[in-house]
Amino acid sequence: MRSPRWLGSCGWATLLTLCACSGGDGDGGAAPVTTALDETWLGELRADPSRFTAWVASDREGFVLLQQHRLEEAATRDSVAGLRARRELSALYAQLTRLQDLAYDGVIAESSARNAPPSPAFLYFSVLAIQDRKERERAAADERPAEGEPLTAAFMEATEPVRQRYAAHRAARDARDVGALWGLAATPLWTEPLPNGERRLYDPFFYRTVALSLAVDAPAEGPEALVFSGCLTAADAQAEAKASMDTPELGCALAALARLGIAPPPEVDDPQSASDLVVSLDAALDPWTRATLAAGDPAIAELFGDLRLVERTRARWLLALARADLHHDRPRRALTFARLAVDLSTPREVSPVNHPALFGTMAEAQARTGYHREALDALAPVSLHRPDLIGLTELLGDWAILVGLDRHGESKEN
Amino acid sequence: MGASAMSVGRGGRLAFAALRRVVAAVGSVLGATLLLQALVGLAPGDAADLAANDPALRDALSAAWGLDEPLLTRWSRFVLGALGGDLGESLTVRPGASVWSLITAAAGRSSGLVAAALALGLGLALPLGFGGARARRLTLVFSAAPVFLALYAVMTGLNEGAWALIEAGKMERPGWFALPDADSGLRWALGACALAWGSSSLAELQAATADELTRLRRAPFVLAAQARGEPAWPVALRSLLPPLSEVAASQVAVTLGGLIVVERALQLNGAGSLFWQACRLRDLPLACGLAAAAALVVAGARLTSDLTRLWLDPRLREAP
Amino acid sequence: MSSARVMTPLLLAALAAPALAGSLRYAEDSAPAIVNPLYSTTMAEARVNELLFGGLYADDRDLRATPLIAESATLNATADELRITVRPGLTWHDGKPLTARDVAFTVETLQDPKTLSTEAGRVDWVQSVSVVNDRELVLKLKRPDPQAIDKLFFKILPAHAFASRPVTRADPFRTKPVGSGPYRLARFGDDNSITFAANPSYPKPLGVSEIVMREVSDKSYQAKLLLYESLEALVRVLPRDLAVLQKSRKVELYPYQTNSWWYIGFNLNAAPFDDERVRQALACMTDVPSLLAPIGTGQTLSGPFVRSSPYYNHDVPPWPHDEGRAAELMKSAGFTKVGEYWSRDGQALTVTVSAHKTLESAQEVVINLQSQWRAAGVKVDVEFLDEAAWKARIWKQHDYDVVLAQWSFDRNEDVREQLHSTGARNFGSYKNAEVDALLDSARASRDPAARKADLRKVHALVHEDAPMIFLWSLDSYSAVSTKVRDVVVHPFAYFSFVSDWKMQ
Repeated sequence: MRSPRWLGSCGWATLLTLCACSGGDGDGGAAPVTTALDETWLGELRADPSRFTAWVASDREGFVLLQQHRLEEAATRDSVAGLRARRELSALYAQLTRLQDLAYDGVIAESSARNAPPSPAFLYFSVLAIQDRKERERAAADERPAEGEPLTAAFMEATEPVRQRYAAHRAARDARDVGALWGLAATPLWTEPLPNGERRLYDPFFYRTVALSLAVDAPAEGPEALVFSGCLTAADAQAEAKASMDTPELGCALAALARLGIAPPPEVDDPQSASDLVVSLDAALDPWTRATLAAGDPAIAELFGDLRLVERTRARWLLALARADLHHDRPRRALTFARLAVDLSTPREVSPVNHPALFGTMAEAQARTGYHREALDALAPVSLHRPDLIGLTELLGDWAILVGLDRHGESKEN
Repeated sequence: MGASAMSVGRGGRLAFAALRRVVAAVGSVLGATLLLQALVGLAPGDAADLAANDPALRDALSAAWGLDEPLLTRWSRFVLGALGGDLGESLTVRPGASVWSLITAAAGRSSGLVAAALALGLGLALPLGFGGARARRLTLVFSAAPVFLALYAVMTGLNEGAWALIEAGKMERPGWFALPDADSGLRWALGACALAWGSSSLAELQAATADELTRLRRAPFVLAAQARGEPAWPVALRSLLPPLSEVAASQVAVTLGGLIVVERALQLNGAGSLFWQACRLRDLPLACGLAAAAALVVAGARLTSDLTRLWLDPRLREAP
Repeated sequence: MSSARVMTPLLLAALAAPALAGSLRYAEDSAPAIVNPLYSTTMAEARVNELLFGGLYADDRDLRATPLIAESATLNATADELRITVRPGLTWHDGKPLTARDVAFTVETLQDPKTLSTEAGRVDWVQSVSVVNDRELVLKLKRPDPQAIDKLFFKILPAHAFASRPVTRADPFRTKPVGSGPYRLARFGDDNSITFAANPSYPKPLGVSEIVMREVSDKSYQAKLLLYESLEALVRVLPRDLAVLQKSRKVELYPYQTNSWWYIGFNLNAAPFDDERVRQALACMTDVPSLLAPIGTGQTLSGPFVRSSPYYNHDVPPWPHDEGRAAELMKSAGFTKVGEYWSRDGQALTVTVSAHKTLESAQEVVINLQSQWRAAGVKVDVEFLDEAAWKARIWKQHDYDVVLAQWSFDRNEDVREQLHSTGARNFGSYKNAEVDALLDSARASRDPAARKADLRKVHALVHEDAPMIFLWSLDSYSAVSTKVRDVVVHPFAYFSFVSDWKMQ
């Protein structure tokens, strides 16, 4: 019931009535708590937090790494956690591969448009990258290369170090083991002197090799496969595995939305529709989280407060929606979904809420919408502990420089 | 004849007092503007520095605005312009706007606040003056409290409280919310209270009232009135007005000073706030115009006080 | 093309457009000093210019150069002549037609040395301008430039609205600016606010009827006002407010990365800061992460670029916080420790740190810096300068020891003005011939790898010379109420896409 209007017109009265009123929490106290999450792994944990220990018992350390998104470390473990980490890492590197392909195309197009011809070495590397992509596309479509195709010819004329590196990649892809290539990706494959430094060109095959090598065909099953993932139930995960373009661990958003009674986003590249969806999603999740934490159970507080399971799952859904939007050529909305998923208490860090693919998705969305310099910025948290990303960041840097080559640079104080 | 001579003497004294005050007012205005020009000149940076980083542009603006002239030349130019009715244009606060129009608009917004603060001070001081030593101590303690800290605390409390009620759906958004951002009667009232309290007029007025009451209780004309069986309060009140008007007049200057702080704290956009901005942005014509206006107001208040005292004080009125 | 044919689509668009709704209030720390694109120097002014004025070309939402006032711009075969056709039917806010003469006037005014424009560099590539007719003009270029269209972003001004020739800063235009942008200046408020009303003749329906710039000097209070729904937008959010605002479901946060970095800058004309060993020693006395921690999240730096910049030299580590090394450097510069302070010629080293009053969180940083340097043996005085004092003392008189300040850059991150010996913003008087040559080479280079190599070397040299101690870049976000829809923030100019924004 609302208080009379005169109350609102008198500040002193407001102050005096404060003691009689409970503090507002922003939701008006009227929002109903959804029951849609009760039959999910989140709901099960709320009902019985001790299950968590059983679910992660097979490899507690692996799950800790998975929870913290330390994927490279988790991927080395022979457990469900390790398998899941390999799938997530593969998805991340598939995204970096797409970004690299995009950047090579962008640099070549921009160089030509701006009368800034690329160096022969760069051109050569870009041809190699394009050729590698085409080969994979052909392999995926089960096609044979056309005889005498100019790109193929260029590829066959590769210099010896490059030829050797590519052979190593083929072997790694066949054996599904990146092996020593991890250590080589951070050093240039080609250098040539410049008046004040040197041109450094990096391995153009690496990201694709990681993506292919770590791809695991079958997802894990059981509760171990669900905890920390975006899929709320095993049925959701199975449905996602059939329908999704890649890993269900980074998916299940549509099933979750349906469960919460939220309409899926329209199939248009409209960023506002992402904002609206997130408002609905938060309106559904916030009361559930508050009610869960209000129970006062220390075990629940540890899971839902310290580990932030709901925020983490929410971020997964938004990441999945962003990735789906990129897949369907809706980069503006993809960027909005990804932006709204980032936990701003650690805006530039991979964290339990911030999956590295979140930053990769932002970078790809920005690169696809003309924000090349900003894409570099988005990628920074991913590259921070991944020296192998230097090739991609250098490439994106070239692209950003070329785009602004003829612009008037501005600076302001403060 | 005696009455006529007395009347001429009183008229002459009034005219002399007025003349003395006008001379003092002119002196105050000249002194205030010269002092301000000197102080703003001493402060690092001028309007041209604010306008441009480029040395050539800076020099050109300095020359155009006369900022490179010696202090006395600049001041005389201001005075001559003011005598001709031209206070010039604002340089940086509202570039190009007439200083006169800015001052009149700001003064219009501040006058009510100043009048309310003085009235509030007097209105509270009179009853408190009857309250004896305990009331005096209470007023002193009250006046010594950190008024602006208290004001900030009140505003924060009101804002947070109101927001909690609004968010909880227990109240509609009031017109004054959020303080001091929204223009409202509450903000203005808080300003008047803070000005009355913060410019220490309350304690001084109360002290003056109490002293005068003590004196009056023993005054022969009050005792005579009491002996005649007539009520003493009309005589006492009449006798109280001259000293109180003097204190009130002296409070005008303090209140105008307080106006700067109160208007800044409450985002009230009057003369005080404008003066602060003019100094911050080294807008010399505007700052000088406002200083001159303030000096005139103070001199006007003193003149009014003098005339009131002459008119009402039997000792002054009947002096040979 | 007849006016009817031009007007019909506009009328239809206007009829189809949603009704204008609502007033959008945004906060600035300090109101713009002037509303005139010829003389803008601050970010607040740049943002206002974006509302009021248009350029021949502008960024589209994908940041591609796209015609705005221009209908087309065509280079001749030798790329030294640019023929520009002005879009038909455009008008100024006062209803007068916008013609090619206005474009010519703008170029000539910017170029005129008597105008003393701060933006003259935007047209320094133009040799001459000639008007063909009301819709066409030709720019003769100083040298062939196949990408000259990328330079047509400067704001176009109305020739008829300026009273003086040559145009001066004091021109009455400053109080009654007339532009062709999506918003016109409606009024200056007594509270320093500026109200912008939707331009009814703008060739696109606008979703926000009014924009109000509010001056709110207290940054913490800005965030409160946004939460209280007394503002609809904050241009920049303090890092410490990010998490709070993110929790509010009524606010959406948008990255507004302006490539800004903080620095401690030395006055190289003042002894002992002319000695690089003293500067390096002070750098070693500075525990940068400890200075950063209380004010928010960000990244520490070793040079004049943010870490994600393609020019950032990752091989150069920041100066270590190493008092032993600082002591060695101080001794080599002739200082000895007398008591608790470093002294030379009987004088204890005393440094005055000057900071701008409006620099957010500067007080916390300066106080912590003071205690760090004091602990290391340097007496430190602190002063906070208002804008006028800052401009006079730092920019004009170079009367300072050390400043704490920040630079913001657009995506080009052109640091030439700050570091070149002839740079207009090099108020610390830094001079290194090799750095000058590298900056010149970088500007001329069209090979991204070469430009990167040049500027990374600049980074290394400047780090070693230490005319500044490079501190950090802060995470920068803008916050906008969810009542405002279809928000896209331009990475530097902020309001470039405001014509797409809508109020719920």
